[in-house]
Amino acid sequence: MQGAKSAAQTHQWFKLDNAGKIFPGQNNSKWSNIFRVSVSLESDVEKKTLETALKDTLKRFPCYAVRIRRGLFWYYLENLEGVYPPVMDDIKNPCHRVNFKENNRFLFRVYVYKNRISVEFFHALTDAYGATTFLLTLTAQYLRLFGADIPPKGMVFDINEKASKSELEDSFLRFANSKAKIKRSSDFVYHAKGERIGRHKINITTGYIDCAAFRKKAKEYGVTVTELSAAILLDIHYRKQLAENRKQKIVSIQIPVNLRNHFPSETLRNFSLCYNIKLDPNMGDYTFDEIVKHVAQSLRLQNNSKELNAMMTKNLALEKSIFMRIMPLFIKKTAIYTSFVLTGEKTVSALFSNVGIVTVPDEIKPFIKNVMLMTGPGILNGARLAAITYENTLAISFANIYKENDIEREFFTRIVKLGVHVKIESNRE
Amino acid sequence: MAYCINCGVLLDDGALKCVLCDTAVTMPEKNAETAASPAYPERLVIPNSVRKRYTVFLISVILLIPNIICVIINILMPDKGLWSVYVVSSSLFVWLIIAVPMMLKKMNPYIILTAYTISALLYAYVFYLMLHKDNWYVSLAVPFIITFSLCCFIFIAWVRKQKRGKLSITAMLLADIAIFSLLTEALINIYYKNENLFFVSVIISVSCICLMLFFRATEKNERLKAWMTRRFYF
Repeated sequence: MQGAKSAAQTHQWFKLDNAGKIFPGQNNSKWSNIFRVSVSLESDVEKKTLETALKDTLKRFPCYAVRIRRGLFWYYLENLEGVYPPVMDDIKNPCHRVNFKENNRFLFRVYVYKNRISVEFFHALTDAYGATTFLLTLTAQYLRLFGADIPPKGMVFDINEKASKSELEDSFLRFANSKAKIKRSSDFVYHAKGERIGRHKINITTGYIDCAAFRKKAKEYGVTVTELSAAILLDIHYRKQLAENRKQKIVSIQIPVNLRNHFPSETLRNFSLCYNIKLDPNMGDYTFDEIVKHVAQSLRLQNNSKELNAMMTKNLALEKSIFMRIMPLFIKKTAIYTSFVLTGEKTVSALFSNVGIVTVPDEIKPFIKNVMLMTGPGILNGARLAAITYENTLAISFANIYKENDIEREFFTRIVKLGVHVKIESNRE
Repeated sequence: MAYCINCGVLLDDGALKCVLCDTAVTMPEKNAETAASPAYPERLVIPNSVRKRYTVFLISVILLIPNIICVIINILMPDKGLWSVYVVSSSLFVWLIIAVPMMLKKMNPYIILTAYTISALLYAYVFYLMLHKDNWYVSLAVPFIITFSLCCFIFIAWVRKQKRGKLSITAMLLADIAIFSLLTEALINIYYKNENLFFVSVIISVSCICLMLFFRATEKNERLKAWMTRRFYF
């Protein structure tokens, strides 16, 4: 850690961004705040070469070459120089809890398994967009070391360039300027229950879906791929609760939004917000078509820059409040943890995060088979889905903490019934 | 390529069963020849539990500062007696109860319970030495602490023996409370040489037993359980 010491002496540091501030306080054995992005290549990965590529790539992403430290009032990120995260053999239980002292103190992990390179990021560092950009830039550099000529384009960055100020900024501070403030939903909702698998373990089921065919089906309903997927998920939870013959609670799907699509930000740090699509079964019986319409309308109503700005401003107001700022970190941490335990996932039945289409230069396409994204385990949510599209393949991954896999089975079977091909991959035995 | 005849999804080469519905793949012997490697390796990484050293440090400092101040004041004003012993022993007892379990990597509840019992006995003994009235330590404090520990011990052993439902745990807790209240009242009445051994504890015990029977009945009756869930939903 000699290098780390010299970095500390130069005092290069970052404040945690607005979204990232809550994650260190929530870090516990059941909820890891880690997510994973993987890229599968056409040939097996060489660990040594990947280590070299990682060293080259990390310089381009100074906001990820950091460790987390405790200040008197806030956590902060301090640059690490001269050390690199180890490239490790992949594991069966991805996204387990981060320990701030492991992994040479880096907050992201790099794994290799046969032809697959995976990175797992602590959410305090960045969101799925930033992590995917880092992974694709790393993959491009890895392939360059084997002689491939891959120009920087789309999500593959030029590693010889220096990170710009706008890439390292906290975009929440720049763009949150609404006069209105919208509060997050606080309704306690339905959760599909099951028998928990062991602590730190997770069941992953990934479906590789023919994207063109699925998009065609979505168009037939007059909706997007995200809207149709969220509607299927909402419908599954709605019908599961009905079948349980109990007092009906609201069913809610949380959908994170990449704010870069609404605001001209280039940041590589967190810049996303979540909104909830809710369905109250007490309103009456819903058909699937009605649920699709309901999801599409709710999403479109909220998915505009004004509404999102008001939500951002509300989140930022808490961080800017003088009481919050002067409160010592240990009290803040306890308050965040308590609030998370009391509400947290209780307001969400399932999560559906869709990063969208990965944009890469044509030269890298012959080397990449597919790209996959997955979230970490939840505390109450059996279904935490993440989706990413590469070329014509939409990869949807379930991260499940329960032994039961009825939601996954129902979800993928429904897509198959729509006439779309789905290939399944899992870590289940 | 193999398809699941039940779900209709495409599976990995060499898959013997569908990962979604466990339906066997129709030609496993043929697939086994072209078996692809599993999607994830077998290696599991279970992270170490985080030792709450920071919290322990904070608790220790918060407890230490008033103790130091009290000891200094007591030394400067010795004519008021050794009152700081109460503060120091109480702080030490709280520290042992809260901070020590946080420092342990793996907690064995029986060892923790034994340690707590010994700490409580010593804590009471300090007060006994300071006050030195009657023989309350042997005839009241020791049996009371040991009774409480035994009740806890039985409860923990019962819960750990097999996986129990929330309702049966509550029922057992109520039974424990009933026994403990009866024994405690008997101890107090023996110490004060009262004629009636039981009075208040009987009311507590009867209430606990009624509730306990109700919970046991609810646990065994699925219909009643469903009715309760609907009625008491909040």
